[in-house]
Amino acid sequence: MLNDLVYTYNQTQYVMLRSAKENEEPSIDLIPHEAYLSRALLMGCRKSAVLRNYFSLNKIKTTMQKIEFKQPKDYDLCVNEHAQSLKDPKTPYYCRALNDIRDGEKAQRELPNAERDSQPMVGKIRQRIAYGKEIRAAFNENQYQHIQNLCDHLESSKKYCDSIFNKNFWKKIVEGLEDAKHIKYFCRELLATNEIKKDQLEICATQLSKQNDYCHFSNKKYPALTPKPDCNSIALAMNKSRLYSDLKDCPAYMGNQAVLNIARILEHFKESKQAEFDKFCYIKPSNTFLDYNLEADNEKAWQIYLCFNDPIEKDETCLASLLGNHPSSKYSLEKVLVRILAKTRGASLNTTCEMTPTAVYNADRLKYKSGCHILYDIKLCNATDCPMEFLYNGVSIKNIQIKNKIEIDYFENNQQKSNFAQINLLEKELSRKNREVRNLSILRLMLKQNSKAIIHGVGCAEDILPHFFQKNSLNQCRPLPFIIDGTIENDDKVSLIVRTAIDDIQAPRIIDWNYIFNAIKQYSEYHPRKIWSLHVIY
Amino acid sequence: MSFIRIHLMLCIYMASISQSSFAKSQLPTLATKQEINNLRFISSDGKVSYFQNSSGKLMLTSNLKNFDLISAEDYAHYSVIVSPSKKYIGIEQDTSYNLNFNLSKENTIYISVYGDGKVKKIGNGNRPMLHLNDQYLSYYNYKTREISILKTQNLEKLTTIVLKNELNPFFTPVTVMLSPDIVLYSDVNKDGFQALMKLEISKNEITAFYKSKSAGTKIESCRFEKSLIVGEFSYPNINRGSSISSFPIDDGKLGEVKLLYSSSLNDIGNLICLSPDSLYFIKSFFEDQYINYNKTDVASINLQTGQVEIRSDLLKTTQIYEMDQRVLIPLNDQLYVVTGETNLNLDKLKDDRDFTFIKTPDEFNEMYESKKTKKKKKKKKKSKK
Repeated sequence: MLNDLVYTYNQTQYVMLRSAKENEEPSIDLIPHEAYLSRALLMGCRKSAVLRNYFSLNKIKTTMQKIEFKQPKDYDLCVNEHAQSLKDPKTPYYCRALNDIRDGEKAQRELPNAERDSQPMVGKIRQRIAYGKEIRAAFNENQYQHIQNLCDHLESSKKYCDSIFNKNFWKKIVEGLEDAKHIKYFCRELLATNEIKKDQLEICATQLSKQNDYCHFSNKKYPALTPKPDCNSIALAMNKSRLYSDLKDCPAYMGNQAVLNIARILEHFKESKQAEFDKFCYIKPSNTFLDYNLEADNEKAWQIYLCFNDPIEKDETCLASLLGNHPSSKYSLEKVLVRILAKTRGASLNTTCEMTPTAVYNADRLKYKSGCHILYDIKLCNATDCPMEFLYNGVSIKNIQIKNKIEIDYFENNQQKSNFAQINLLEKELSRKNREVRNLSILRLMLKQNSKAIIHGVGCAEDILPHFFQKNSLNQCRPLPFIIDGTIENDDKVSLIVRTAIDDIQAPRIIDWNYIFNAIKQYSEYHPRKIWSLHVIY
Repeated sequence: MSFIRIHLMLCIYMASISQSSFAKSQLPTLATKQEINNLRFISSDGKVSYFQNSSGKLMLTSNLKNFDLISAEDYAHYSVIVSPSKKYIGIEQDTSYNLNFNLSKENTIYISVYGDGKVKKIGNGNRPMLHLNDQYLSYYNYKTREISILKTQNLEKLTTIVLKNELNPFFTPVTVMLSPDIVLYSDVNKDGFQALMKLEISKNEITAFYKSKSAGTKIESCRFEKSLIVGEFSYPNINRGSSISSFPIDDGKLGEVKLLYSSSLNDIGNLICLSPDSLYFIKSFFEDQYINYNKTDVASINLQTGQVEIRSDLLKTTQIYEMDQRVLIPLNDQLYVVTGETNLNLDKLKDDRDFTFIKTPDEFNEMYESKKTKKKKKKKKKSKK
């Protein structure tokens, strides 16, 4: 009872006390929480009164200096330790301290709004912040992590011990147990530097562990659906995730999310290291998708062309192209343009075309009066659409047109073209097996038996991510591709590790299996062949 | 022989566990003469229906007459928006539905008089909505981040609003009109705070009407004739709880806020204002934040009494929408009816109270807990065997 009273200190105002004197009817009184705690209970329980004093604001720092939490050596000892902690009279005081620290953090978030609106409670909010900070200062990092784990998982020894033995993902990176590639994009933004050294990695990992909310709006340079999961949730998912993710793509600029999903699947099996593309972040997945489809003789999958009137053929000729610069691809826009200029203007094949943002372009500068220049506005560009102007020797070229359409059969939309459905091409070109996943048992079995297996599919966005997308009419469904690469279980409940094609590849979401199942089932109703759109590739 | 038996048992076991854990529901499902998957709208009396066929055509049946509304290629998919006023309809046509999975692609928006066989193309974008007894239609364009509002009668442009949002490329704003001069719409700032902005067209003035309390919560809004409802719900992993407030509307002006409902759990939301005074939304009543596992169902709030009731028993409700005074839940391949007419095969209309599932939150929890205990007992029995 004392434990409950200490722990709920901020949440309850009164205690209901039923008392009876000899020969009198029992009476029920409401006693203020604080008064009951300090007098009625603690007077009769001296040890508790002493303990309460130890955890008061003045003494807590000294108290915590004398306390050390040791890491349990094995899982059984951990479960035992968790049971002991529940009996420990100090535990409610730790959890109350954690509550106060978190309340201070919450107040910190409320402060900007309150200040902006000049709300009268600004003073109180500042008091909460100061109080939370003072309590936080009493705990060292190890102690703080221990009480977080303990108080967040009081009801479950499994969760408590899992978080100790399935170590925090960010820490694993610092200790060299996981590759730093998983964290580098977060750290670059967090520490505002491009090169991350080992000591910086440690600072970054610690910050990600501490600033749980930081990850919601991180990696702004690569736009994707926000808010992303918090850092703890990402770390939990990454611990059990297997999708190759040493790459950075930008879902918002893909023009067709199927291209991104297929490219992520291809990269997973190829694991090819490629340069980073800061300027045109959509180029890498575009090129992966284009290369693979051309190799599979499926030219129609990529209908982005530069078209011109060929003086020799005396007809319109169209050349497949990427809409940006890729140093090692022959479909890089400036290389395709040079080939056209060679045919139509007699330019040398050694000519180089420079890609220049319209904001930088200045017609008066000598540099732009000769040679080949491509003017573009990155804000208007994505993988399938990018308005551009071509300049050759200072003159704008009007007779080269960009034709752009990316329409893909992800699954077999019709029987005649089934060989060119991406689902079948993947199987053939990657020499991998592919099969339908109809239920959770098969999904878990396939992931367990094949270390490289991933599950992919298409489902209604509104059912996969109901907090983000709302249906407002009958049979509404916006198809969204996704990849599943792991499961997380708790008691008899199972969730999946999912990256939809609008999610940051470094920030997987944990999604309930029922949401995915429903999304697949709904989408299959609107598919011309009513296909089941969840498959494993392994 | 024994190998075959074991294999068979394994197959039965595999099929029986976790196809998905949807519960058996007491809710009725919508029954119609047409195949439901092809329907895009059907009136409560079944006399007007919009539907599409597999060759990309949108059609209308109105009082036993058939009309072809729009023709397109095979892969076209349509959404039809009809408000309670039923004067006009908004149509969104996606011509590359199974070929281009771009959530922010520009679809074609059409308008038509309700029950009429003619349509007019009005622009490119998504999510058409009708406002103020169908006097206005709005739609949103993800690419340009613009909300366009038109007068339905003459298709004259009323206004265009450009969102400030640069943080979430897939953000869809809510749009509510208080009067022909005042438009409320949601937006996100650079720190992830959403706000309901108020545009006064005549003054060309935009002010923040309602700001979210913390970053990462979403704002939803809908309106009754005399009140505006604003809900604030947390996205997954944000854990800031949920709240719903109401503001009286008097002559297009908003009065003092009144808190209708709050919860420490992260409800999905999806507010529906069903005239005259019932507010529906998806409420969370169990959360395992460790693995983002929720149990959610439809709840309603009576604006007069403030009473909160649980209106469905599916445990995994994720979407609701209104269609001609019916509140529907699409789940699995079923369409459950929370309130309103269910059986459109019948000639005689039935009292919808016959079908309605209503429980107080306490009754619902009790029912859920007893189901859980039964399930556990069954499991124990099985494992003992």
